[in-house]
Amino acid sequence: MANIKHIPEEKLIDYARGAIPMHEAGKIHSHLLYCQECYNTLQNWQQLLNNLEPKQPPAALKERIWNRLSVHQHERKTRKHPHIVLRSLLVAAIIGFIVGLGYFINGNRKTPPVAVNDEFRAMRLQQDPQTKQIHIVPVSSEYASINGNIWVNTRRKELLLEVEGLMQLSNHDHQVWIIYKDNEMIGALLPYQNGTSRLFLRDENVPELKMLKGSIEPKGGSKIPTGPDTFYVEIKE
Amino acid sequence: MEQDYDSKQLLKNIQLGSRRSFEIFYEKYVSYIYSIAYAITKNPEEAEDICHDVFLEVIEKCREYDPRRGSIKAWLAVKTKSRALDRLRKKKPLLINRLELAVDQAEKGADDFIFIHLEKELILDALNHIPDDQREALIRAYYIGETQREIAKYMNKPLGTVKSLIRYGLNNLRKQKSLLEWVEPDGGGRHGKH
Ligand SMILES: [Zn+2]
Repeated sequence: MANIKHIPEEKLIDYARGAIPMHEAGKIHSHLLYCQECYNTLQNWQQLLNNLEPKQPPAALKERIWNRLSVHQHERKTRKHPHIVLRSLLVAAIIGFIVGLGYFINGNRKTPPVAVNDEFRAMRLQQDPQTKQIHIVPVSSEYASINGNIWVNTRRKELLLEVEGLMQLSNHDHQVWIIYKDNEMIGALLPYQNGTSRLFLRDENVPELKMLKGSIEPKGGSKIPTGPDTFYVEIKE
Repeated sequence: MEQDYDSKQLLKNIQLGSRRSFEIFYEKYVSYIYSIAYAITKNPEEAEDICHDVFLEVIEKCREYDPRRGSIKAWLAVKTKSRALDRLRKKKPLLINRLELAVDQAEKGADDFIFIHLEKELILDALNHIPDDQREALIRAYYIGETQREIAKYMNKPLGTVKSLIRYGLNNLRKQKSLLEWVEPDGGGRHGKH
């Protein structure tokens, strides 16, 4: 059995689709006569493709992919800067809210969270009975106008942050810090318009979250929080 | 092959940032990729995520496409299948839902794929603590590939009972799995730890 040259799976799929030129089809056919392994693979694909119901994903998927692609390209460009690695992320485009671009400023965490610009997903998260809603707390009376909530669901590994009342700053940016139980943290710029900001993220490490806090940082974002802090929210089991 | 040449060129253009090429490539293949992902996972959200990941992967790795191995469409199908199976592997609740759906379906579709390709240990492990007859029914259904009628014959039980055994078995599996997940978070989250 050692040196049998099997037929590539792709070829078998084309064979199942009837998309193989005659001269090649003969060769494949004779291999299939004695090779059980390739024959099984072919059968699996035939079964799948013959019963395939044509389906369309939600229309928003196209934008989601394109945005992610743009982020990748942006990353490639910014990777050259030694100090700040900007991890771009797209913020949920939410009905009646804002669309904006935020950036994760990555520490040493290897897998940055993925933010998804899918309003339906944010809605699904909010509607899930297992989702916990927690109010955010302004740090001082100076920021009393800030209010909002997070929705967190450890099973879905998703988190939605909604903040209102952020004041527009000319020389600074609002940033949110995502802090994990092991005290690692990731910072992201909070895009806001008319004082409202929404951020939806999906991250394998959501169950490991300890708290989120907001702070005011130099324009363009900071790698570590320098403050002043604006709000915080603790995530308890 | 002419078509594949075009598709490969589209992929290269997308890498260079061409929105128009992306639109053409996307429209050409999205339904195909999504339908395969859905056939394997039977979960629209997962299928959508798989689509997302497959598109990104093939755009990123368009140089890896080798026309001697087959068409672009076939290449996409292989990528989609392997990502879909990965998700079933990593997300136990998804897998259990998928198995449950396979119980009643006369139409097999992608079922064989799942049971042939997924590591047997993954489920056999979980089967250890459920009643014997439920376990036997599940193993016969999913690993030996017997039909429910065949199982009824071998186990000498009415067909309705076999259906219930499979259903109870899966329910037990589900309960057990949600317990396990509390104790031992899974899903490839924190790097290195298992
Ligand atoms: Zn072979």
